[in-house]
Amino acid sequence: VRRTRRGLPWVCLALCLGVFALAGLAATGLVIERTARTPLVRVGQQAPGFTLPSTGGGERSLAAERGRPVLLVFVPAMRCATCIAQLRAVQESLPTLRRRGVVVLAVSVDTDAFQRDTVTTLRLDYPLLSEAPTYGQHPASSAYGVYHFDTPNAAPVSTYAVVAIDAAGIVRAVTVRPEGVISSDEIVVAASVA
Amino acid sequence: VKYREPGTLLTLLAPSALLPLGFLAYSHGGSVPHFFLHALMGWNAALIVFLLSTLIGRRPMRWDGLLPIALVVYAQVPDIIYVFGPYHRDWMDVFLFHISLDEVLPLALAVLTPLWLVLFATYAATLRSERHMRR
Repeated sequence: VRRTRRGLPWVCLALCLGVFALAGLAATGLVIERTARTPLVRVGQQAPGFTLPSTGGGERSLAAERGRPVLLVFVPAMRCATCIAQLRAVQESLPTLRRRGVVVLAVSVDTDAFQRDTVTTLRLDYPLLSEAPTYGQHPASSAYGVYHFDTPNAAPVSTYAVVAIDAAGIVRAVTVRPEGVISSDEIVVAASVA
Repeated sequence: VKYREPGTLLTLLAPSALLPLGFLAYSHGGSVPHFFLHALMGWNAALIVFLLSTLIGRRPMRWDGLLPIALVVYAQVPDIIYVFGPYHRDWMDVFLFHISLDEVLPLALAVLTPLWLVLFATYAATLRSERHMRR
């Protein structure tokens, strides 16, 4: 009994440390997760720059596309049904967009390995850019204000959005649809103003 | 009085021998840090339960090792759900703060790793003490 009692203060100390550390960590994450929202990008402003790993190999940056119109597509993830529908809608609009010389880049917070798998599975002909790992590093979606978009069932991912950027790097159209798919027709219309 | 086999470090750790399977699944998806994040969270929560139960006089049992792995799987539920389609939502913080820990992953790993060592060492010491008392 004496042995146990001698160890009790250490057990109490470890318990307090554990409870406070876990509670502090969870609280920090909760506050950051729910307050780190950025304003949505506006039409007419300079498009925020970014450099992200691409499924096409290496990295893609917006600066490197200067001189050509760019269609930036944000999707929450790779596996959900509406995410797949969104990726396919972009694929459908691709021939029209390419004829017009529009560069298509899609961004999500998935890992690049997961994205490569998706490109193969869905036979996508445009690059997916990875913002994973997600810890506070969403250089594109945070800069464009689509990360953790304020909706009733909010998610720590990008919401469905299409941003058309002209050859001078100015935002020309912004379409955000938290509830689901932006159709290929809408994508083509959005890109036409770039 | 029925004799019941007391819990030991071996019985505590044995069920977690299944964790490398989870590690392989996560590494296939390129998210190894996430595996450690939620595994450590589950294990730390279990160790807190064990230490708390030690304080109230409960003796370690041979099946105690199932709790850490159960809590690890519980913490990883949003990732298991994601494999089937639905992506992460804020409400999934009910799974041992899965979402909020993802958001502070580097800080979380830096806190959870030494915390696991401290809690595990403390609990290992209480197990040892328990065995000495039984002799």
